[in-house]
Amino acid sequence: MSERKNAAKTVHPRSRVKFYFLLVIAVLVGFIAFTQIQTANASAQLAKDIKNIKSVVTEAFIAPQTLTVIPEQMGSIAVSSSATIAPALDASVKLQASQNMIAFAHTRTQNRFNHIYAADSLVGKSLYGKIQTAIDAQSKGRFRALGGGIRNIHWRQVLVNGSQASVTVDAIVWARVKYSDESGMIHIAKPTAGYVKVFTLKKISDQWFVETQLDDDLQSAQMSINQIANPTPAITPTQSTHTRKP
Amino acid sequence: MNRYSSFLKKIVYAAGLRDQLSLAFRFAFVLLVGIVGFPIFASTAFAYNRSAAVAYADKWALSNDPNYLHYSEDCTGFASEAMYAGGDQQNRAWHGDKTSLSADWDVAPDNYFYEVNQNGAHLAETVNSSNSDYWNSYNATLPGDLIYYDWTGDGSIDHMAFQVNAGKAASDPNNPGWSFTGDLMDQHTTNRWHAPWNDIEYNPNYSITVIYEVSHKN
Repeated sequence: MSERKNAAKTVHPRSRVKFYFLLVIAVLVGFIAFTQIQTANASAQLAKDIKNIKSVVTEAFIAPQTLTVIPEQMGSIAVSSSATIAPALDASVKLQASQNMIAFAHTRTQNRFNHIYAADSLVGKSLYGKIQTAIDAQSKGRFRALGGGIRNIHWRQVLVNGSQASVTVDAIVWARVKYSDESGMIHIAKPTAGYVKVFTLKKISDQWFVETQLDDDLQSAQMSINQIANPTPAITPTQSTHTRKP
Repeated sequence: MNRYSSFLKKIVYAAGLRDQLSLAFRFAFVLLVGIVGFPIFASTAFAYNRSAAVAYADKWALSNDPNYLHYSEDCTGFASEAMYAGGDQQNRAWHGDKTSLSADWDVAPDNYFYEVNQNGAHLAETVNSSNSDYWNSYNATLPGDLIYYDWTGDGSIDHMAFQVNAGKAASDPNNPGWSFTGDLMDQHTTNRWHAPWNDIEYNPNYSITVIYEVSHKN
């Protein structure tokens, strides 16, 4: 009886080897699966980050063209969330924007900027002030922004490093403006130009915000990330080493 | 008073300073004439030839003068060439030729500070979209004067153009039927001949741009 018990407990040496072999294989497969899942998650997160970064940068790129366009009346134009194409008002609109629409434009600008620029971004604060001024100026009856947006956008480089990112992008932007000269003659201009811009962004609570942006020429766009300076707003013209295409 | 005067004379004679004082007075007189006279002489000797400067700008607005070095962004170099054609003298800070260009010659903000601080120019007016003068066809400066542009209103000058004679602007190929009559400018980088001074027709960032109108010395 005891021999039979001992025989039952005895494991064949080849079976033991086989068992450990299978165990090692299982661990390896598990490890590979784990790393694959991690990589896939990281890739998915990176893709999500890049998508969000592009969305924020696009809005920042064309903020001066889109946010200065004051609706003619509430609901007459769509406020596009993608902001790749800004609404264009009919050229027959009055030069003097109504006060309630100016107030609407101010609120819209504030909401957009809260989603685009970091709260401590000096560039954001400066640009916000300029756009608010341009909105207010449309109450004087001398000019009206009719539309603006992007015709082409080229992502030269998107670098993501944890919660920091750097983006170099060029695009053709357009605007449409109606204005009267000193003799009262009405003009409509449709300026178009190509710009290169370098943005730095930071991630706060899973959202990306623009920290700095450099509006400049090809020369600055080719600088490495470490060379990008944080532009400081100033009241009077300041020394700089770059000129830029109009 | 006489007592003190005679006392001083005695000291002068006693010290043998009479000749030296006479020499000092002569030297002071020459110095005074120099200080007062030189600026008068200099102001009459220099005359900025606006017509010559404008003629140069119109001639080379759409091409490069082979007598000067040109980079891809040569807006300021072009304006400097026109000013040189108008009689401005090259110097250590502001110079350009076939082989080299100084920063004050070729870089817009550097040129602005050179003109205003060292070359007798003055800022005639600063305008942006909230200022009605921005939308006027005519600005505060004259042919031969300088126009500086800060595209984003961040306080850093990005571009400059050279004001030429007023008239009808060249047609805009991107905007058929458009017309403008008023003060005009020529510029390089994106070469333009007889474009509107405020550049609204070509500047999508017009709403945040700041323009500095600078009067060149006469």
